Amino acid sequence: MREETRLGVAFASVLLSSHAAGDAPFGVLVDADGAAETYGVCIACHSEKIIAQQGLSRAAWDELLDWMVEEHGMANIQGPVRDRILDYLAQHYGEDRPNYSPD
Amino acid sequence: MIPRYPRSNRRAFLQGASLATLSALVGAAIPFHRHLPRGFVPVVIADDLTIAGKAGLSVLNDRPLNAETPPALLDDAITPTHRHFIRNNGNPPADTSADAWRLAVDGLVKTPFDLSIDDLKQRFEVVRLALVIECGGNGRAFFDPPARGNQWTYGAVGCSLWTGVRLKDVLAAAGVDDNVVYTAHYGADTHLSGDPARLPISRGVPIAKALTDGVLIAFEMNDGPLHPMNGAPLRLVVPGWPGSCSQKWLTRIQLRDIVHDGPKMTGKSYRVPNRPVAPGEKVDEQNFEIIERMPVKSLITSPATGVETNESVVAVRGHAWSGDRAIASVDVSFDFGARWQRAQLDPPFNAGAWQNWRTTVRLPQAGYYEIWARATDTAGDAQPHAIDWNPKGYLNNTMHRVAVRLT
Repeated sequence: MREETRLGVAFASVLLSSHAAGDAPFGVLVDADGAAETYGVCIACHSEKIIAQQGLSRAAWDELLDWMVEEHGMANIQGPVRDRILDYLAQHYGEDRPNYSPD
Repeated sequence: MIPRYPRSNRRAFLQGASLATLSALVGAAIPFHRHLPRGFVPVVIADDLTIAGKAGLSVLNDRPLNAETPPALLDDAITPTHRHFIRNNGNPPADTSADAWRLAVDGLVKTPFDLSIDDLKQRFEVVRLALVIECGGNGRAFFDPPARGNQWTYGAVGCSLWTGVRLKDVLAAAGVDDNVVYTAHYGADTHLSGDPARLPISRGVPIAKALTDGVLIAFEMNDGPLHPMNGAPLRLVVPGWPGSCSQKWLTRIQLRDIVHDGPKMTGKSYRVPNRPVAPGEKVDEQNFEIIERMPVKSLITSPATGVETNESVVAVRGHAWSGDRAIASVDVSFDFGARWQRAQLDPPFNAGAWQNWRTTVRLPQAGYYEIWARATDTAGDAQPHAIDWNPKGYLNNTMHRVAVRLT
């Protein structure tokens, strides 16, 4: 591991966002309106880390939820809960990628 | 080094750690520690979530596990097992012991059979080849507008030594029916939803590709066992095609008289538009076609990007590859592409391997430089500057650029 640690120093200024100790109820997801519904629905099958990488428009998120229902057996969420999830995803994980940087 | 707390407690420990502790853990002083917001964990520690048998990989996703290798850690001529990327679609099987493993070969064959790994070794010629596996979505992170999926940057590629038997020999023994069009591959990994009726992924290749020399059913990686996350104890290796063709935890190969329609074969998965499209353009599903060979590409594995040096002569090296083709030349520039110098290029260890290259650049004065590499393959295709955007973010083979600061 020592070799990796030394090599990793080059990347040490690249940071992983995380919440204060004991206060990360939604893992790496931004804690905001709609996070609870999003986290609750999505992490039944997969980690929230895949969500946090994305940068999609509201329409593309909508299509992605349909794909999750059709291809992966997700519950078909409709109505106000779906709206809250889509609003949350489009705001925090939209095409302008406010919460993502590669590396 | 880091106390082996359960993950949540470990994170809390790191978030509360003093500067001295963090410095000790990253192995160096942290010059910009004042810029580090409270509760941030240096990624070198945070992402080192200890995948047994792997080292230095960047974890993109932990369920399912997806991890790539920073280019500077892909410097070896042959990728060591601990540096090979991981791309999982489902949950790996719990039992990956080789002794009880069975491979079924069935569908449109004259003699279907079911073999152990020992049977494979005894009945067929065992070969050892260096073969490139690259994820079809490698480089997706740089798409604008972004494309959905794991945001691979550069390191979803490797060229390890794979030992196994040729798929074509196994299919010849089974007897391929005249009407076979496509293979269908099945593995022992399970769907993330837990639904046993769903497969996480089942792809295939045209029968003509399956009958080429370089396609292996592999049971050793770098003369040792396959890593559990790289498909132990048995996998396909289809070099130069999207990694998803190289089914891991392989249990069955079926021959079909239609293009296989398993999960991730249909819709927009591993497909690109059949014509050039503008970034962000909507494309109807019927205008997508299945990706076959991967395009010409190269990586600079030394120097690491962001390096600062007072030495004006810089050794530059890396790898280059092109699906089903060899590399004809690699050119390097340090002035944003105005002038190029030809690199020394090795032949591949065998067809399907990447080719190692190297050169030396002389930087004229102190300042910021980018070193660019551009490979050209034997069909004359070269790496482009700009991404040929497609909706699902595949096939980004743009030139790799590394930053070097001469002081």
